Amino acid sequence: MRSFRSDRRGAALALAVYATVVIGALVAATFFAAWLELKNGENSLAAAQAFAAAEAGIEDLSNSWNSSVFDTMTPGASLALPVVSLIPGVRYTDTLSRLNAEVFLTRATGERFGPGGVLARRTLARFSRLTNPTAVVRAALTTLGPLTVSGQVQVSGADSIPPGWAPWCPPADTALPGVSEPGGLVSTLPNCAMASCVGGNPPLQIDTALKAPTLTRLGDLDFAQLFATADVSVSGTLNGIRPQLSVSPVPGQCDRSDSTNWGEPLVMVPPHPCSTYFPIIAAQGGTTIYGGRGQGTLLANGDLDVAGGFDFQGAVVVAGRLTLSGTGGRFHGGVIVLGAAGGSSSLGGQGLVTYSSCALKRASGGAGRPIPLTERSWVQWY
Amino acid sequence: MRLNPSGRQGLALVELLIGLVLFALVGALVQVTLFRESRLARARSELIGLTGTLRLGAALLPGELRELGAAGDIITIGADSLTYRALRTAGLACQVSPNEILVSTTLLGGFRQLQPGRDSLLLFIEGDSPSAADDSWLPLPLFGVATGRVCGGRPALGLATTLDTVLTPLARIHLDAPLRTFEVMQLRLYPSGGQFWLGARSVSAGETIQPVLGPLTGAGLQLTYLDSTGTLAVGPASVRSVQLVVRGTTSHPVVSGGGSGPLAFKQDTISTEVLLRNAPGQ
Repeated sequence: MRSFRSDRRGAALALAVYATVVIGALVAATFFAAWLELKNGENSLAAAQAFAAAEAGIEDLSNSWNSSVFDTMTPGASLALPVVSLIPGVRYTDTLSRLNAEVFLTRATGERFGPGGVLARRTLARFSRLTNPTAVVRAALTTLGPLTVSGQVQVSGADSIPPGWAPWCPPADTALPGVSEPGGLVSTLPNCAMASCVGGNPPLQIDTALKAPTLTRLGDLDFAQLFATADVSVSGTLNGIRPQLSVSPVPGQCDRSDSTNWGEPLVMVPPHPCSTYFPIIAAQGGTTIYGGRGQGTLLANGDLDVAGGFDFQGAVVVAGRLTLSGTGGRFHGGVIVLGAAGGSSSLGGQGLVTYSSCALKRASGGAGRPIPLTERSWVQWY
Repeated sequence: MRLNPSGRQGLALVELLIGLVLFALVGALVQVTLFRESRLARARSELIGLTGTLRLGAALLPGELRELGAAGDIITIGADSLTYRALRTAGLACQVSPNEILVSTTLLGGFRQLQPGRDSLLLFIEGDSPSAADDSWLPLPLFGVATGRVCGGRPALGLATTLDTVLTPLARIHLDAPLRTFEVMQLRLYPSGGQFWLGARSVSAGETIQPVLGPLTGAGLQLTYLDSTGTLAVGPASVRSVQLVVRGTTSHPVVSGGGSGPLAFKQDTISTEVLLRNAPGQ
C-alpha cells in the first residue's frame, strides 16, 4: 500500500519560491535605484566642489598677484602655476596667459578626486585688465586739511631722482608746486617763515578745484579698493621697516610674506632681490613709523606719524593727519594728505618731501593689479 | 469491489476545500504584497525621477544664468520667463580686418563650437585711455566659420563678419583682444501634453520651444530678480542676482502611506540663488 503522504503534489514551495523571487527582484530594483540616486548625488557634490575649487583658483590668483613676475610676462606668454590643494581630494591649477600689454587671461581648473581618480573637473576663466595704482600727484605735497610746516623741513616740487636711482630714471621732468592746497590751510613757523623751506613751481599753489574724490582715485581703483587689496597691512608702532630675504623654501629671495618688508629703495647696484618689490601698504589709522626704509604706495586710512629718519620712495596717501617729527621722514615721490577727520597735519623736525616722477612711475608700474574686464570677464571655459 | 482501482488514496472533499481555501488565502496575500510592492516601486521610481528633475534644474539653470552680465545681456524678465544673451565661447582675436576676425584655437573655450547664424560675436575694445572707463564690447554678426587658418604661427579659425571701421577704427583694437560669442535664448514655463515644462529655445536660431526640464507644476518656475542691494530689481539692467524656485511633480499619481494610501501627484521644490558673475557690483 502506497503512502498517501508521500504521494502529495503541493504548490506551497513553488508559490513561496515565486513570491520570494518576485519580491527579491523588486527589492533589488529599489536598491539599485537608490544606489543610482546616491551616485547621482555624489556626482552632483563632486561637480559642485570642482566648480568651487576653480572659482577659488580665479580669486586666489587675483588676490595674490605677484607684480614682479606677472607684470613682466611678455604678450603671448603663459605661465602654469603650482597645484593648490584646498581640502583633501579637492584642488585647483591656475594658468595665466598674457594676451596683450593690458589684458590677462586666468584659467583655473578645479578637480575633485576620489579613490578611482578624478570624479569631476571644471575649468573657469577670467579676463583681467592690468591696472596700476597711479596717485593724482599735482605737487610734492597736496593737502585738503590744515598743515603747519616748521623746523628744518624741506618741501620741494623740483623733480628729483632718489639716491642711486639714476640708471633707472629718465631725465628730470618739469617742476611741480611744492605745496598745493584749496586755500588758507598752510601755515609756516620759524625756521620756515614765509614758506622759505618750501620750493617748487610755484612753492605754494592755491587750487580751489582740489577735491577728495579726485585725490582718492588711484588709476582704475579708489582708495578703499586698493586699501582692501594691499600687499601689506600694518598698524601700531613700526620699528625697523627694512627689506627681508627669505630663508625657505628658496633662500635669498625677497620675502613678500614679511609685513615689515616694504622693498629696498637704497641698494640698487647690484640689484637687491627686493629692489623691484613695490608693495601697496595699508596702514591703519594711528600707525607710527619709526625709522627704516621702503618703497611703493603707502595708504593710511587715518592718521600717520613718522619719525626716526624713515626713507620712502613712491606715493603716500594719508586719509587723516600726517605728522613728521624728530629726524622725520624723507619722502621721494608725492604725498597727499586728505585731513578727513579734522585736526592739523604737522611737518616738523628734519623731514623731507620732494616730488619725484621717477619714484611715482616705478611705484605705480611695480604694483599692477588685475581687475576684471568691463562686463563679461568671467567665463565658463568647461 | 475496489473504489480505487489504482490503489491511490484520494482526498476527501473536506481536505480539498481546506486546501483550496488555504491556497486562496496564501495566493491573495502574495497578490496583495506583490501589488503593494509594485505600487511602492513605481512610487519610488517616480520620486527618484522627481528628485532627478530638481537636481537637473539646480545644475542647469545656474549654469545657464551665472555668466550673464548687466550690459544688455538680460533682455526681458518675467516671473516665469527670461530672455537673455547666453555667452557660449571665449577666445582671443589675433587678427582683425573689416570682414574677418581670426581667433586662435589654442585659447578657445566654452560651452560648444561656434555656429554661424546662431551665434554673434562680442569683441573687446580697449579704448584710447589707459583707464578701463572707455573699455567696451562691440557686438558683431557671425556669417561663417573657416577652419585651417593661421594667425601669428598659431592655428586659427576665420570668423566672417562685418566691422564698421568708421565707428570702430582698427587702431582701437588691441590684439590679442578678448572675444566672446553669444546667442539669444529664452527660458520659460510652458504647458505641453497636459503637463508643465521648463522650455528653452534659441531665439537667434529661430527655434521653437523644447522641454528641458519637467514635468513641473503649474507654478513650477518662479524667478525673482534682485539688484545689488538685494531688493527687487526695477529692470533688466539692474539685475545682479536671480532667485530660482523650481517645483517639480511626478509624471503619474503615486501611492503614499506604505503603499496603501490613495494615489496622488507628489511635488517637491528646490530653490537657489544665482549671482551674476559678470554684472558689476558682484
